[in-house]
Amino acid sequence: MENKRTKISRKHICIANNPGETKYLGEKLGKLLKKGDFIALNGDLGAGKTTFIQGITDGLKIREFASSPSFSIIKEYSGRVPIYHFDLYRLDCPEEIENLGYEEYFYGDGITLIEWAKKIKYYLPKNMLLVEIRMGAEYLIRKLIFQPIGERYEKLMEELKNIENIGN
Amino acid sequence: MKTKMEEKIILAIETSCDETSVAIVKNGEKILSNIIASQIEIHKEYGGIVPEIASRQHMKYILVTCKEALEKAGVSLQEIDGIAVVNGPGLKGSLLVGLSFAKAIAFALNKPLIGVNHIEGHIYANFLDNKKIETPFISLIVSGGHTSLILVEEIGQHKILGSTRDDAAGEVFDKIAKYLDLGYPGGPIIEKIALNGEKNAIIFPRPLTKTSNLDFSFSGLKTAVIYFVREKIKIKEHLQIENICASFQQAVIDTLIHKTLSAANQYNIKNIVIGGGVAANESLRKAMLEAGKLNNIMVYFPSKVLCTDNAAMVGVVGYYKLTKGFSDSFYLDVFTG
Amino acid sequence: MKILGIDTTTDVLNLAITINGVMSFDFMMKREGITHSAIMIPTLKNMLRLTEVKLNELEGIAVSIGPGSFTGLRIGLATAKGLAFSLSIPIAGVNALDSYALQWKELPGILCPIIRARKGEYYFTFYKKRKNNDDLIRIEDYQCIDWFGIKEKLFKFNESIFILGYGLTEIKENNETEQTPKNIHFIIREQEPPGAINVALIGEKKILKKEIDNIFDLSPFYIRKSAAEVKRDNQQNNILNE
Repeated sequence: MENKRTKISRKHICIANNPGETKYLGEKLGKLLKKGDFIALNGDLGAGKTTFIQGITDGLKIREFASSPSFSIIKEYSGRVPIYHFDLYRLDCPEEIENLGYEEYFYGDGITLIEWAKKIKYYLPKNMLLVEIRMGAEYLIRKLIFQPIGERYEKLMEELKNIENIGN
Repeated sequence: MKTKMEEKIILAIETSCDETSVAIVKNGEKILSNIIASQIEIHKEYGGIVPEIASRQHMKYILVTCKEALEKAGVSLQEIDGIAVVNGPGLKGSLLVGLSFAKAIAFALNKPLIGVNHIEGHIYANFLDNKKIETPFISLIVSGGHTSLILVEEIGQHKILGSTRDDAAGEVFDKIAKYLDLGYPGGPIIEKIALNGEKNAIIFPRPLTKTSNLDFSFSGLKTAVIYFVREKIKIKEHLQIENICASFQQAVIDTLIHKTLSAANQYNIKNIVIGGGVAANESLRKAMLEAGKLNNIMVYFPSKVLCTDNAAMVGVVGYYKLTKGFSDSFYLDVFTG
Repeated sequence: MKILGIDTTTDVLNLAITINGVMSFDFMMKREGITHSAIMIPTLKNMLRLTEVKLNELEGIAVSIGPGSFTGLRIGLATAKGLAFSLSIPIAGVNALDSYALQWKELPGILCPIIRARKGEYYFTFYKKRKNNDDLIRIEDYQCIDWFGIKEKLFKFNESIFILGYGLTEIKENNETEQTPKNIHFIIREQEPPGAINVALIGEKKILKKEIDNIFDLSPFYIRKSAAEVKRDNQQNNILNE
């Protein structure tokens, strides 16, 4: 099994004018996700990480509320594939992730969505779709920055761009 | 009057998330012991390397906590009539430790096993302090991990009327406290600071209160507070933290009361039972009681100690289920949410 | 001694009973759509009924502490603790690499059991037989590295080495080539997971030697990487600028 050194690819930017649009983008992405996909989200408190994930779970046709797992840390949904929704807000140090059996989720049979992914920077897999959500001066407006790392995610971004108007 | 037949001692286990807790509860009302791992001193008599207390180390703490609980209660395993254990919702790896341990004990002792929903536990925490609560009642369970409205038509019969679509109320307290750099745990700290603030100084949104729908949403309130603070910082205006805390807290309280009364109204219920970590908030308790008085509704709270996660409340549920002739098979599994 | 052996480290639930170092009963069930958590006790209950061994006749619980499945280990170990505590009998934790090696002790050479750790890494170590008896001794520490690192270590040996891997078809496929040194053999099986019988046998020996584990403290086997190692292994994640 070769370890290809993955090239960092370019970033794709999208503006969401309100939480509804953030969620909508998530939904479009959700429809394209496959087993083994890994989405790493970062953004300040209130940026809309959970909102984006609610969109993703809508796109994956999950009925239950994708409410914030800040306290339970990991929430699991059953869709056509299992979905693992992590929220690392309460992690005090990266090593804590080892107590949670993270490898079996990250390298398992489902789709992994992680809020506050940067908290476990060095535990993240080699390939993933990084999503950063930035708040601006305007109350409702958000800037979503997508950075695909690895072939699968570059392809995923192309597919997403074909449906949505996402620029560089 | 309780007959001899109804006297039951329950061994209760709770490992749904952070804490490992084991309790011995008699007749669904008397706590013989209620041990929470982070609060006991790990004695040398348990031998070897017992590490410093860390969250979610259930595998290391489950047995020592169980042993403490039995010893403190002065009860032997053979005297236990049933084993109640939380099998969800929560963190899967954590839940599995408690459930597997409980099943093994139940099997070895040939005693009934009773699975308990963690949220159900919070409802029945009230029965430990307030022994007579008539059904039907509406329960508001509000903590860091949950915000739910439940209709209890009869003991053991629950219907979830609404829950949070995003953040739990306790979680928002925590996050705002962190954002304002106030320390941890956020809830009690904000409550304390709010005492010196004006609760109507800033009118923050009360989300989803304009609908008869009984779900909650707090992320909009969270964002409103964050932006309010950002604006003040931008124009270099002095932050009146006491007012911000008081006004934020009031927005949460108003939302919780509004929804709970709405539920009581919709279902024509005269008793409200509150539970969960946020139920320890004195301002919430006062406001709920007042609102109850105005609407001719009885409001019940557990003691503050029993608002946080603990196994004693699980023992109460175990007792009621057992006396109703209910128990689970050994195929019982965990559920996460 | 009558020992119950428990192995929940893979997708196969394995319970076994040994009596005085001899297999009495061995039950395996591959998990398809049902969890170890759901079937553990019902399986144990039925097994005891079939063996006619009463629960209170058991004199020890031997349980695999992994490495292996995160949830599987929790189920097996917590169950073992509950049983040992309720029955007031000793518990013995057994490393899955040890029990796996024992399963193949008849092979004439060095044994190298391998257990997948995810992320392209594997738990492994080496065992050889003692000169004058049948006992296996471990000749290196338990380790966890990627396959390239393991291969480098394999080349150090001149004797026959047997790589044991349950379900590790990727290792067999990528490495059983003409270039592979003749002394390295792959025993990769899809139908033969590490067994509870060997967990029970190793456990019984430990209990007889009074090498009983601290039941309170017993936890799944896991090699933590140091922060420096984690960082080094995932340097590309520097793109995540703080």
